[in-house]
Amino acid sequence: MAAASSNIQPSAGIGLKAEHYRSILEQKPALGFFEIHAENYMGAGGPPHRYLSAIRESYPISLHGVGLSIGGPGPLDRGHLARLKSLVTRYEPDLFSEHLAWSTHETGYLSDLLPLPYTGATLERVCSHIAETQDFLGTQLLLENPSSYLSFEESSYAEADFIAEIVRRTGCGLLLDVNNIFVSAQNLGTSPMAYIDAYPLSHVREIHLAGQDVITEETGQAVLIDAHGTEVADAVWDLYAAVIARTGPLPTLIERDNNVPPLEDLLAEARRADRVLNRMRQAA
Amino acid sequence: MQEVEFHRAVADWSAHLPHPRMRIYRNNVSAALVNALKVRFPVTEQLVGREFFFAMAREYASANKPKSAVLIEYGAGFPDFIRAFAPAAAVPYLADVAALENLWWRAYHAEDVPCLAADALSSVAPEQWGSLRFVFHPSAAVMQSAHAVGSIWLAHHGGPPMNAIRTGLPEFIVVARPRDEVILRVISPASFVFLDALARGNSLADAIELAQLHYPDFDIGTQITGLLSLHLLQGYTS
Repeated sequence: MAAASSNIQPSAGIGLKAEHYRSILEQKPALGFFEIHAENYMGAGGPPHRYLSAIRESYPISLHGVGLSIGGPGPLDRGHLARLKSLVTRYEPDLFSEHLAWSTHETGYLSDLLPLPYTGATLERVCSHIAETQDFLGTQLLLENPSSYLSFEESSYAEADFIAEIVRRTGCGLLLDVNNIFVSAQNLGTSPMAYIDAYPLSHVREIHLAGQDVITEETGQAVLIDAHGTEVADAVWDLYAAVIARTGPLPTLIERDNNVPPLEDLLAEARRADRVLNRMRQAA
Repeated sequence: MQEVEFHRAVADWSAHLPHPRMRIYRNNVSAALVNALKVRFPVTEQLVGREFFFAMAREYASANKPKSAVLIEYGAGFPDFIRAFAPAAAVPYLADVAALENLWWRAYHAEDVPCLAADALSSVAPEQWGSLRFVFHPSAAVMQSAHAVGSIWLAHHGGPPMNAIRTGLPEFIVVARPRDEVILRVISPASFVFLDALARGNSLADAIELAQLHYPDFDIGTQITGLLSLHLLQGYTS
């Protein structure tokens, strides 16, 4: 599948939060794009759609799904695909992304991005789900790498190799979450740079940066949580610069879903991302 | 760790955790569902406090997973769960406050369609009014409660404070969202009987007759003006 044509420049954007709707329309801050969680706009009507329509007039939109369950064992929910399609039609997003994860179970929707083992069988089903999604929506899907707290014994692929194979088979693009690389590497005792070395970087179309939490296990071991509730950590900014040095400038999202601060704080982090991107342009 | 084992442990919160770190995933799921309920039922939470609400919401979420990834739709059954939740019995109005918050939430996310204009009936010949039936706006709802839940809700949104409310008195409420703002009003018992009859599809004449049967001083002119100013209607059929 051909890469989606994008009006999103390789600059920073932020996640669109209801708390900021009014400030955004009043201030019209300089920003590359807004990213929305698709599921938050699956209600029939009301203020969320009104504000999004108004903001869409001034900014490109990146549509980020969290509930499609691409990695799940069951078939994709066609109703959910239809809801995504109507958002694609209505808001004409420049980028569309989803996760290498599952969330739908026979008991219902489990509201997290849950991990899957990396095997020949899971590769088949993920590829088939991505192909189905791209066909149905008529747009390229950018697949996001997960944050991990543990790994499956049954996995026979390394994550980066698994993702590279998905790209090769489906023609999807990638959304590289740099915080997730950092969190997973810390939790699984692996090297973030080795992950980046193995990762199919030439297919990355967007970057995510987010804050993390740390908890201490009973064993005394520190575990990083992909919590999206704080500023981006300095170590993640360093890793981001290392990624951008290899990929060149890419649209970069500051993700904040919990403890949402004033708009100005997110714009300050977006400017920091823009400075990294500009340094890279000057160095090139 | 096997995939099937993992699925079971995240879906069933009483199941054995095959690995201690699985608790992180289970907590993420539970925190997201509890948070969805906090967002939908903020007054309910304020009435019982964070800790009580968290425990109650987690118990609901443990047994009631969302049917889809659209969390906007999650929690419609929470008021009924509260009604049967023994520890909440000390707050007799809690379930009805939650039911009212459900109506607010549905109004907020309802389809955007224009309301019937205030002068919409001027083109209808007076002799035809009796046979009119109304289509209610997708955001509109009427509710009755054995408790003063409209006043309780308003007390948490800048209205007269809780200590000024006799919570044990019945109340009748309408909710609608004509444009951006959800409007919530306490109405008279007579208005409720009238509006509820219309909402059930009765003709205007039948709704008036029913209201007058229960409330002999029911004033038709005032009620019809009120009906249109409450923005409850989308259209009518004659």
